[in-house]
Amino acid sequence: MTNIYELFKMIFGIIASIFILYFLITYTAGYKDTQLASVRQSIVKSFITASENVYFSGIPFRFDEFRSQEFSYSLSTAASQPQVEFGSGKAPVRVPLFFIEGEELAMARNEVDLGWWKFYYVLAVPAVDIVFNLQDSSGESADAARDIASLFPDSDSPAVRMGLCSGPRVDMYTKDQFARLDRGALSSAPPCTASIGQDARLVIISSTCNPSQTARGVCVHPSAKLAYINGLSSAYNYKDSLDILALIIGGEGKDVFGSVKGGQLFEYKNSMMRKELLLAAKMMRIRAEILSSELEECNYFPLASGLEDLAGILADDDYYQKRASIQEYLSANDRISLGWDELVKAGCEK
Amino acid sequence: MRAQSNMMEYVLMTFFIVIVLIAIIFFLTFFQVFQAGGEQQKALFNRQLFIAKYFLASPLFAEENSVLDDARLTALSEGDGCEELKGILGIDWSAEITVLDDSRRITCTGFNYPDCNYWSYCLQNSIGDNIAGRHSARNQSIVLPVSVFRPAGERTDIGVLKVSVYPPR
Amino acid sequence: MENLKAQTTMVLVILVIIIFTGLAVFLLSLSSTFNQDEYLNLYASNLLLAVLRADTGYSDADCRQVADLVACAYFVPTHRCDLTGPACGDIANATIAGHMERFDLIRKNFDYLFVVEPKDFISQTQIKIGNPDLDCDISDKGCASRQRFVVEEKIQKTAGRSVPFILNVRLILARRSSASRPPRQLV
Repeated sequence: MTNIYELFKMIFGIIASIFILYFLITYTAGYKDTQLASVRQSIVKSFITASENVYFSGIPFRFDEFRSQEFSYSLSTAASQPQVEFGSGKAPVRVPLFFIEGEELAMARNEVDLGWWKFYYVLAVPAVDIVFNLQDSSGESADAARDIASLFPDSDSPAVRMGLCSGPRVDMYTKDQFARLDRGALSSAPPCTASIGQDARLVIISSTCNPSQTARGVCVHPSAKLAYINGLSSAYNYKDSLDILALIIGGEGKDVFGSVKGGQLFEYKNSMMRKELLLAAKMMRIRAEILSSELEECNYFPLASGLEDLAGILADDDYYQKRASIQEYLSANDRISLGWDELVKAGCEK
Repeated sequence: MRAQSNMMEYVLMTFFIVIVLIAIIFFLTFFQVFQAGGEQQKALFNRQLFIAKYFLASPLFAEENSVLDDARLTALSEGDGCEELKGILGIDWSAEITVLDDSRRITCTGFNYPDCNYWSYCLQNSIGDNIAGRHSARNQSIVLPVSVFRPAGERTDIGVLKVSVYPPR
Repeated sequence: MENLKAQTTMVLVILVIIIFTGLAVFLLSLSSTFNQDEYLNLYASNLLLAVLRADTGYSDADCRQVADLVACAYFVPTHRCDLTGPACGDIANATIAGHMERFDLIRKNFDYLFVVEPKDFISQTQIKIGNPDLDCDISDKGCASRQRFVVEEKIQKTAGRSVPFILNVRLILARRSSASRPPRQLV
C-alpha cells in the first residue's frame, strides 16, 4: 500500500507537470506566431531594400524570397507614405514602386523622360501575360501598344510575355519578339473573347473606348488620351505611359474598401510625381535665374518662363484630373524641353 | 518528521524551479528589448544611407550619378527647400555639403554664388531649444566623398556629403 | 539515504543554473551590431570617383583632371603640365596624396593605396601611390587579418598613335591595425 508520502509525490508531480506543460505550450504557440510575422517582415523589408537598390543603380534584379513563405502582400497608398501591407504588418516604401504580387519578381527601373527631367520608378512583376487587343489599325494604336510593352522588364524567369488577342485567339511573344512585330501584325482585330488566364492583364486599344466596352482590363483611347478600367465608369486622362501602366499594374480588382486598385495606383502615381515635379520645376527655375547671371552667353529665359508656368499648373493638387490643366501641362513641358534643347546645343547644359 | 522533511524538500525544489523559469522569462524579454534597440540603430543607419544615396542619384541634386551640381544645390537651399524635401525624405534628418578647397566655409546663397563652398539642408538648431539640443547630441552621421560640378567655372571639385539622422522624439 | 536525496536535489538545481547560464551566453553571442560594409564600400567607390574627377587647376588637356594626370603619369611621366612646373608624375603623386590627407582628417585610421595598371594586358609597369603593403595576396596571413575595401575604375586614353588604351585604377582602403573600430567622423 502506498504511504502518504508516495501519494504526495504523485500528486505534486502531476500538478508540477501540468504547470510546466501549460507554460511551455502557451509560450511556444505565441512564439510561433511572432516568429512567422518576424520572418515575413524580414522578407518584405528585403524586397523594399531590393527596390531601393534597383532605383539607385538602375540594374535589374530578380527577387524570389517570397517563395519561402506563402502570404499575401500589397501596396497601400491610403496613408501619407505608401506602405507594403501583409497581414497585420506593414513596411514603408521610400521610392516610387509599382508591383504585382507574386512569388518571384523581375525588378527593373524605368523613367518618364520629360527631356529636362527624368522621373524614375521601379517596376516589379511576376510571371505575367500582357495581352493587347487592338481594335483599330491606326498607327497611334500600334505605337501605344509598343510603348506600353516597352515598359515591362525583359525577363524569361519569371516569364513576362506580350500577347495579341484577336477574337478567340491569342498569340504570345517575348518582349523582344513583340517589339520587332511589323505594322501588319499590329492591325485591327475583333474584340477579344479568348480566355486569357486570371493573372493576365488585358489592354484594349480602341478609338471607341467607353465604360460599357471595358468589361475586362483596361481600355486605352490613344487619340483622345483617355483610359478606362473595368469597374469604374469615369475616364482617366493620361499624359504619359506611366499613367496607363499604373492602371494595368493596379488591375481591376478591388481593395477592402471596394475601390478599384488600378484607380488607386493611378492616383498614387500622379500624387507622387506631382510632388517631385513641382519641386523640380521650382528648383530648376531658381537655378536658371542663378546661372543666367553668371553665364551671360546662355539664354535661360525660355526655360525659366516655362518652368514658372509649370510650377503654377502643378500647384493644383488635382491638375491631372482636369483636361484643360493637362493640356497646359503638356504645352509647358514642350516649351521647357525646347528651351532646354537650345541650351544643350549652345553648350550651356549637358 | 521524516515525511514532513521529505515534503519540504520537494516544495523547496519546486520553488527553485519556478524561480529559474521566471528568470528565463525575464532574460528572454530583456534579450528581445536589447535586440529591438539594435534594430532601431540599424534602421537609423539604413535611413542615413538611403538619404545619402538619394542625394547622389536624384536629379534634384546631381547632374550625373555622384556628381552634385552646385547650382541645383544653391537653388534648393533657398526658400522652402527644406520643407519640400521633407515631403520626399521625411523629417528628422539633415544634410551638409562642403567643397574641400582649403578656404573658410562660406554658405551658398543666390547672392554670393558661385564664390561659396557650403550648403546645408534641414539643419536642426541646437541653440535655445532644449529638446533639439539634447536631440542633436544623439544624432548619427555618415560622411561620403562627392564631386561638385560648378557650371560657372566649368570645373569639378572634390567635396564631402554629411547626412545626419535624428532618433525619433 | 536522506542525505543523498538532498544532495541530489542540490546537484539538480546547480545543473539547471548552469544550463540557464549557457543559454544566456549562447543568445548573447547571436546578437550582433549591424554591419557597415555597405557604407564603407560606397565610401571607397565615391572616394575613388571624386578624386579621379577632381580638377587640378591646369589647363593642359593632359593634366586637367586627376584622371588625366594619372594617365599622363603612366604614359609620359616627365611631361610638364605648364612650362616651368614639375612633371605630371610628381603632380599626380602630390595631388592624390593631398586629397587623401584631407579625407584622413574626416575618416581617420584608414590606410590607402592607388594602383594604376593597364586593363586586360599583363604588364610589370604599375604606378602605386600610398601604402604599398596593401597590395598583397589574400592568402597572406598579414593581408587576410586586415579588412580591405577594393574598388576599381577605368580610364580610357589614347596613347601615341590614337590607339585607345584602358587603364585600371584600383583604390584599396584598409583599417589601420591599431584601430579596433571605425571612429566617428569629423567635418
